[in-house]
Amino acid sequence: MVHRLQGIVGPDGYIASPAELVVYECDGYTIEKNVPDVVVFPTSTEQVVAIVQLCNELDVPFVPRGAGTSLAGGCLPVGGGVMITTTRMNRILEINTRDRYAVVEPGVVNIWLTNKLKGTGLHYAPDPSSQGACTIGGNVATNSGGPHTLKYGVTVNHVLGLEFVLPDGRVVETGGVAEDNPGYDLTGLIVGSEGTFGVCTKAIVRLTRDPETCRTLLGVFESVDDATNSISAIIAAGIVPAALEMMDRLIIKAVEEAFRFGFPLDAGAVLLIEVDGLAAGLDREAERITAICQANGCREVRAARDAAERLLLWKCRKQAFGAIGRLANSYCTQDGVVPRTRLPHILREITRIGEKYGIAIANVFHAGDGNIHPILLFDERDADQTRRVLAASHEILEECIRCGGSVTGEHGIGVEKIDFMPLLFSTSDLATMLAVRETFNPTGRCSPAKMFPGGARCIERSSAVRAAM
Amino acid sequence: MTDWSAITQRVEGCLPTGAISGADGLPLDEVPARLVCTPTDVGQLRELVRVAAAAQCPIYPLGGRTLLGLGLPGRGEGIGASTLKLDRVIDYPARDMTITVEAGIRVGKLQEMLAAEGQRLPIDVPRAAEATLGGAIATNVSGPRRYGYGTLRDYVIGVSVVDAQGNETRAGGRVVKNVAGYDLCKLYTGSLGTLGIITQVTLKLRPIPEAAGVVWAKFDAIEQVAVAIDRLAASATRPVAIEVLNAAAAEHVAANTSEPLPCRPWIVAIGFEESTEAVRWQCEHVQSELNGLDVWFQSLEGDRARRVLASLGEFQAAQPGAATFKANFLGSCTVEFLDGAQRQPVDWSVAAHAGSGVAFGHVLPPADPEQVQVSLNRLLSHAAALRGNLVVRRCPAAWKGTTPAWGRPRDDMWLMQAIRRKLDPQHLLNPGRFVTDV
Repeated sequence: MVHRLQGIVGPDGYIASPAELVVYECDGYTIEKNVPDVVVFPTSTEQVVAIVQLCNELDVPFVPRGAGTSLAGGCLPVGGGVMITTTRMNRILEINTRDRYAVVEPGVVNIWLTNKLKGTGLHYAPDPSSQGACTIGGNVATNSGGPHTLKYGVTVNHVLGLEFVLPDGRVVETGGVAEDNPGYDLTGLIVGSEGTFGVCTKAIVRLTRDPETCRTLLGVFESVDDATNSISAIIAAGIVPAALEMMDRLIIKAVEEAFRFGFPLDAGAVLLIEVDGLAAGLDREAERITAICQANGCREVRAARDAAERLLLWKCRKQAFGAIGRLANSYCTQDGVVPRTRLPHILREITRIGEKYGIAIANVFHAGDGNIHPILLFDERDADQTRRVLAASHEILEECIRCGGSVTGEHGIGVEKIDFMPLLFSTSDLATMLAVRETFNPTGRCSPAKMFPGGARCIERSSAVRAAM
Repeated sequence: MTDWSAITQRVEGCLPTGAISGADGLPLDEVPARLVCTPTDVGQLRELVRVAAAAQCPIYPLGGRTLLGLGLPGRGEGIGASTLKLDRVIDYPARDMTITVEAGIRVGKLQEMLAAEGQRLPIDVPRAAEATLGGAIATNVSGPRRYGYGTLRDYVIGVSVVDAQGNETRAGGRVVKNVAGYDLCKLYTGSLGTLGIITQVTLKLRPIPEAAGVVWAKFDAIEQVAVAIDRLAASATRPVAIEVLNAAAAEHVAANTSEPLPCRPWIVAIGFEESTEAVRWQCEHVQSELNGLDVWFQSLEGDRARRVLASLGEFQAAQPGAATFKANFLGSCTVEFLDGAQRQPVDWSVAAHAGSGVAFGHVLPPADPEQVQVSLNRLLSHAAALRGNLVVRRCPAAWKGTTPAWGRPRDDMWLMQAIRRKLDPQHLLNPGRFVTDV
């Protein structure tokens, strides 16, 4: 098999040595690991087709992968097989500033597109915190969000069309550069399908006008409660900020040590609030937000003085995860969602659950969307701690469901959250989703054992894989 | 042969008295319903679908009946399943800016309730007093303000349907950000009820903007319109709608506003919705950006502007003649499309969303039926050359064999057909009517 893969992608287009394969054993969810049997790096749609056809011929499972920055094991190669990494399909094929779209290959790193657009007055709106590393193909697979998706929408709101290699090797194009083509919105269906429908080989994405200006505020609060009450009040007042992010004391400490912004270390929580748009009327909106924060017990609201200070604030927020290394050896980030009015409740529950299991939990999250990211700190070498982290995670997510929320806002079900699907959906809901998957992926060869409980592991690391290798 | 007396008897068994009526008022050549059932809860609708499925009897979902001309004629006499009595509000947590309602609620009634909380669904749904939310979603209705706010796919965050087997299935949820499971909300939006009858919907909402403004710009030459919309694409302002109207369309829009607006020969209506300061600044600034062109302006604010925006949104539902199309194309090709529409053997009243590349056109009477059909086919080719497509939204059923009811099929049609076969293997939901039936 490796020999034939080499025939498709060339001698530099694959990895098969155990030492190198280890890099691909997991994504940002590090609790479950499994190495693929081989990783291939195709550079064209034709190569992806040939690889997929070969997997079919030899009866081997395959899984697509972008940069592996997500947090739910979406690209974990369950059962081994071939990992199709799209990072070398990384060309920006077309930028049309007049009609505001770009055509990109899946391996284009999210921020490359926005960097490439500098000076055009346009940008690509979805901005995951990992945007310096994550790929647009991966964003399409997980329907990624980011801080500014509160106002501008998540990935699916910005994808106009796709080119896709289906699990049987057929290529299909959905959507297009013109909006509203008649028929089912297959593009919208495929975005967020976590690689279970095939391999994305091209995406047509919408480009968004840069806002004329913005106001970036830092609200400092004595307690998490005051901060979350302010968030609910801002949304309830009918204000849609461009971004509304919260960091709690543990995170403030870590990012302050890493970036020296000047965060008050004694604060219970800070809110990073950005409003953007036309200059006219923007100051009044910022004043309204300030007043709401003050009415909810805010200690002070500071405005970023200039662009440099704003960038530093966002750097602190977006690289907060990187700063966690200062707090613990390992961490597990959850991705629950609650109705925004339930934020005060869920944050109190997170504190309680952390105490119950003796696990320190830091919080940095997309507050305006109700998308929480509790970060459970532990040492993965300690089996008991790992067990407690998993138990605490489950309890947090179950509470999200009880609040009428969801277990994932932007990272997907992957392998990690499969057990929650029956809690979120009925048997009949799941049957419909599985029927849709069967239309695309009847054998389950593509991304086996993802998203849905039971029945999905139809391709184990079988004798077929062994024989093929 | 369908045994209608047996079916009727079984349907009567699962519905309350008065829930079954004749098909009066339905265009039977489009929607061949023998009887219309109006269940009062989802359980009854499920039973109804099960009865129909057991008898292999077609089901035609019905909402407010405002867009029944869309699509091909139905295949086979069946049961009309009306959602009008499924119109309860399930939960409106206004402070979360979401709402969960049954799909048979009229859009107008929904908007009224939202307005009481200063919120709205920012989608232009024509004939909102009649149109149901479920119908608007099934037909993926949108209008001029899609440029500023997007379309229904951006607002439907949770949906329940009764599928072709009579099961209720749900996708999405009630929170604004959620990637658990496949996003079947997208699949149902615009599916014309062929994958399930939409029964319940959760929407993401927006605050009602403080102010509104419209700049009504009259141009004498279409070449100048082309320059203007290129400038607007890069404007420092942020319009929520950029509508280009030919004279007939402008006259129709103006007539419904009680404003003495000039209409000939070309109008560009630019809509703004934001804070008072931002709207006022934009209305002034956009005029300065178009300076130097041969243009005459009128600026409207407040309720006067809102009436113009509303009238622009209603245009697509006008019925001056026998046929209506909706075309799509690259936004930069708007003037090219309009120019083509002017050079037809019949006269069209056309309004185009210049930012989004979507146009609606109504044929103007008197028009020779044969020429209208020729023209629709030509306009389809024209739109396709501009990388788009064209759908006939309304025309006599007899024309539907010769006009492009659903435009040109595209490469992914087989995949759409496969999904439909999978979810409705007996082909019972709106058989014959959708693009997958072409």
